[in-house]
Amino acid sequence: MIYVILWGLMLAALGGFYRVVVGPTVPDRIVAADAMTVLMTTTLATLSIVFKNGVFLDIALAFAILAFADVLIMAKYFEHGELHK
Amino acid sequence: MIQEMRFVVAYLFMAIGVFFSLTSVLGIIRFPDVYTRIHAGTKALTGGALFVLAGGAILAPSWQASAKFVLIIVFFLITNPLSSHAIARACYRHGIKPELIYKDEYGEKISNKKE
Amino acid sequence: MKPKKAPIVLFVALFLFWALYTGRLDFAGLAVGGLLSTLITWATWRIFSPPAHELPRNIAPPLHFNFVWSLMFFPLFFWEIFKATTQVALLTLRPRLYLMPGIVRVKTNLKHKTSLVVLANQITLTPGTVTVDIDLAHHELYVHSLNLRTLDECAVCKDVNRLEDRLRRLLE
Repeated sequence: MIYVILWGLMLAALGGFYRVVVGPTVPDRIVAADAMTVLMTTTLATLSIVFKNGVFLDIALAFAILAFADVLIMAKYFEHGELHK
Repeated sequence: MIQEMRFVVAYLFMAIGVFFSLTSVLGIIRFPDVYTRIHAGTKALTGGALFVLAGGAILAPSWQASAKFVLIIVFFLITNPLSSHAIARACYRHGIKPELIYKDEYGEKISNKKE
Repeated sequence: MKPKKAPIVLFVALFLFWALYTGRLDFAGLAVGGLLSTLITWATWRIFSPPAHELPRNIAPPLHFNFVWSLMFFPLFFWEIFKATTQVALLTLRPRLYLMPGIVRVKTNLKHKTSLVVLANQITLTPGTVTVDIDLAHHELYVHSLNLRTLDECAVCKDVNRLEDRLRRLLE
């Protein structure tokens, strides 16, 4: 049963990857990548139940923090990076 | 008996969460422009992750693991809207106009400032 | 938050986080945690307390947390998230998209920076709206809405004002 849930999350991440590849503008890709990171965190947290190992939860939280910082930096760069042409 | 009830409730939560995640990704693929995609990518995904993680917190073997699940939920509730604000603002300041829009009071403000 | 309180709150938060994450409640684990928390607090507490030139604006109304109302507030908050999620799910599953997006300016009466930011966060998680920008000087929010419903009057403003009343009962 829990494998069905993992497959569902992976399928959703695949949909996000489609938008990352196709996305016409840069923020589209950022939004889709953000969605993929959220799905990845959820998958990691679910894996901790599958393998009965608490380490996955720590990794999930660290991954979530890094992904959040990533998105903020990308947005910041996108907003100000081209101002100094 | 209580154990079985716990499993049923946890898997129900997880199934709802996966359903929401799938629909939100479908929204990211289907919606016409960036701003509407942010709607799908923030709200439905936060809800989906929240449901899956709540199911995980019920299913977790020890109270400590449950506390960590709750910590991840709280973290998502705080940061997910924040990153979507950042993307939306950067997008608008960069000059990407929404394709489908009926009323735009933010654009008026920015153009007033520049003049 | 008063500037003197900030390092103490930071230390307690870091220490609790350490205790939760290592799960060791014996003396050695707690001692290492206390040492590391002290070091991090000493290095970074300046970031979390407001700079001196901003103090006069911050003094105006002190925040106090209404505990009794928070018992009512958080269930309502989760209910709003559930509504928002189902709304987006229903929108995407329809064969034709019924959208009427737009960006609206909403005026609020919240005085404090913190409550404004919490309100912006909450707007994003409730049905059909995402905050695009905050104007701190004029206490205004710019809100992108999926469905404006009518062009003449501001239907989004009513939703936001409802949330704002709830938040004011919680924080101010």
